[in-house]
Amino acid sequence: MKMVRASGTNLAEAIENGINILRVRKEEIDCEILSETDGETQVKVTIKEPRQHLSELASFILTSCGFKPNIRISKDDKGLYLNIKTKHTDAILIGKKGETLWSLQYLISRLMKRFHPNLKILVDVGGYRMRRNNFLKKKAEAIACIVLQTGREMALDPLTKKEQQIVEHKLAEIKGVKIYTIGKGVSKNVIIAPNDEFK
Amino acid sequence: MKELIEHIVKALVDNPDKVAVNEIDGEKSIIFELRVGEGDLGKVIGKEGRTAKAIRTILTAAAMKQGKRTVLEIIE
Repeated sequence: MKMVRASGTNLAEAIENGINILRVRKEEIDCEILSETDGETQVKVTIKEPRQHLSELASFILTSCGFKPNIRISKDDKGLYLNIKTKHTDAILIGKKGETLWSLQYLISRLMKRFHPNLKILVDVGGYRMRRNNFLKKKAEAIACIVLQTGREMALDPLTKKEQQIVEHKLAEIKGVKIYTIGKGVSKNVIIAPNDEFK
Repeated sequence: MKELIEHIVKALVDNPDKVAVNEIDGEKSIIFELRVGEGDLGKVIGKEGRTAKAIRTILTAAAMKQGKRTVLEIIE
């Protein structure tokens, strides 16, 4: 339901009705006047392009929380990449272990999914995800080296699912180590162990 | 922040007319009372409480700037 037709006694009322049907804000739609007579105006209300819609939504969420965001959206092969930058408040937006960033990601993609079901969105604050990914790759590599030399198992810090995927992906390149997890929930830990098959 | 909760929740539920947010401002904490229509409680809470958790986390981050704590109560 990206588009609705709405009518009202004047233009403002017609748009208002359309917004109420779609349950969005005025900034997220484009409208087109279909017919205009004395007592009735008909409009066609459409949701904006994914890119513009995303930028409006993100800036609304952040400004109503009291931040002053600088939003940049770029397109990559999977979908849209949204990078948020603020002055001095990046740390708050990332949160402990990326908790707030995760929430932003979840809410933004959930709200966008209503109108653009197949769009993939990656939310980032000040390039945090990239830095973290690079760090994880390096760390995984370094630990794998130690494991190979000593032949003993070593544990990584608790990781989120996505981070775990990155580590797994990186370690698939290195032969002689395998990966498994122990524990559940918050205390779920990733263990890197030597793989006997390659000895 | 009240506006934000209202907007997010209205987009998620079936009966947007029944959504009401009440803000109680205290010295050190802000309490939000969110009322939703019958049968919409699950939508606001989400799978394993993910949606509710996400909203609460963002509120906490927003309030951190003012040096306050937030509580979000969801009432059917």
